[in-house]
Amino acid sequence: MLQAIIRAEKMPVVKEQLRGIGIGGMTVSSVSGWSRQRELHLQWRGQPVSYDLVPRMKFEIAVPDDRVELVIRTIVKHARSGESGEQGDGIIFLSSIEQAINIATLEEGDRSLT
Amino acid sequence: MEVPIDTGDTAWMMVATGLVLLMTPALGFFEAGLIRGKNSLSVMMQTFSGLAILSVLWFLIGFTLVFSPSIGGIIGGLQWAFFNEVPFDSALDYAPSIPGVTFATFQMMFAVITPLLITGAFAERVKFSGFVIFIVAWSFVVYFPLAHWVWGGGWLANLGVYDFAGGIVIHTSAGLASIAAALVLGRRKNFGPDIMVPHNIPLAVLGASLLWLGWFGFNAGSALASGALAANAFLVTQIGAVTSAVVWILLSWKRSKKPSTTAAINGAICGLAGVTPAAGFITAQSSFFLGIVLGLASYFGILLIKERLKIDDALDVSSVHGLTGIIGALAIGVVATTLVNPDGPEGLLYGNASQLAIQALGVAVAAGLAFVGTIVIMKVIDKTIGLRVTEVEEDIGLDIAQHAERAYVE
Repeated sequence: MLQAIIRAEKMPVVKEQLRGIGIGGMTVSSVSGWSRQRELHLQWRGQPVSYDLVPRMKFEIAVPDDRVELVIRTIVKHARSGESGEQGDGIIFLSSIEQAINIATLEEGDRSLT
Repeated sequence: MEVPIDTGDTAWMMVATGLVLLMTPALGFFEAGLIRGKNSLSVMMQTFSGLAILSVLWFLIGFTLVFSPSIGGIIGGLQWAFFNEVPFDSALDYAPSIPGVTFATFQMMFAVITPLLITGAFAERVKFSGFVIFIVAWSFVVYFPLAHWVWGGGWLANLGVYDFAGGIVIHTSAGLASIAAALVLGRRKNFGPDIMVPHNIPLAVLGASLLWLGWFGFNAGSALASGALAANAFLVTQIGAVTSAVVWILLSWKRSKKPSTTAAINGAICGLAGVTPAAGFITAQSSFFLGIVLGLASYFGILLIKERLKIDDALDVSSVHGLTGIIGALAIGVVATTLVNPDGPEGLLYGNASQLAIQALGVAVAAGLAFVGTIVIMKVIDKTIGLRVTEVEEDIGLDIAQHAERAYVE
């Protein structure tokens, strides 16, 4: 299971690129959180207000083992700000999945993903 | 001959003024609902702040340039600048039964909403500073002269061009300005179905409903008095709106196999915009057929401009207001009758073939002035303070990038 938390504005391009390399499906949700990145500086009637929770998008993708590297490379390439990236571009978590079952077909494992 | 101030007329005109005021924030709701959430505040800010800025401009200089006695049919003088000598206890010749200030305030709302209609065309990509300069410059270059020529006793009025509530002065000019603005600015980033996602359709329905309500003030108020003419304009407005809305619902149903909410509200606005110039000159029966024509023309106009020509007029102001305003203004030349308005013209079907040509001239002048004027203003702003936000700002969204505010906080 691959989880990627990225800048909200990068979501459309990352989504399209993942579709382009043949990913069979994904779950995308709107999240907010904080880490090393600065706060979000907004205003209220002209008064500066800082929020410590910054809006981000989270991808959850079940990826067959042989494609993990390609998916990670694709996300990193397109979620980065500029060539070398900036603090706040996000993070990827990789973990293993015990089992996957397609609800309609009852297919299991990698076959459930397509 | 001095006509005394009529309290009934004054009461109606103050209500009508309030109704037209409501249309500007309603336009903001309508636009905000139909675009992406990350830009929704930016259009509400443009319409709401525009309401303030353009009201100030009208009070300072706009009213006098449009309505004070004409200098050679070209522009008004300066004697009513800062509303100096605009009477509250007697009338102006334009509206002989209501106080002068009521007429001037009613007209203020039209001067406010006209440049702001164009926000629908350049939504989601214009810098706020560029927007402010644009609406002020556009008022001076396009709206004030045009309104004077048609409504302030200028040369188009003298030629016999009729425009009851603003099909030429407002909708034709804003519509052509919208095409020009979309051409100068270029398309939004990633232009295509992916970015044309209405983020809150109920909000757009609310905006359209308030626009519809406000339009009764816009059109029936343009009688500048209560009574028979206002009553007919009120009905004509309703019938034009509903027939156009029905046409749009049916067309969307046919095209996508499901009737569309956004089509229903767009169709109503197209009908409202299109009957505007004719509301005080035609019968409700003519309005029924005009509404059908307006619905068909605006629906296929959008297919042509947005889908075939790929001109990114974001909310289709060129078709919803421009094309419909032109058709409504020309319809005066066909179905206007003095049975409705003894001070108005007769159209082709009532035996006067020449009015159609006169109307066409008025439309052509408005279209040309608005198109060329908008291109020049936008190019100048683009070369000086800059018109369009950066790509990064466009990605993040104008709400945060331009206003440091968010519409929705999860």
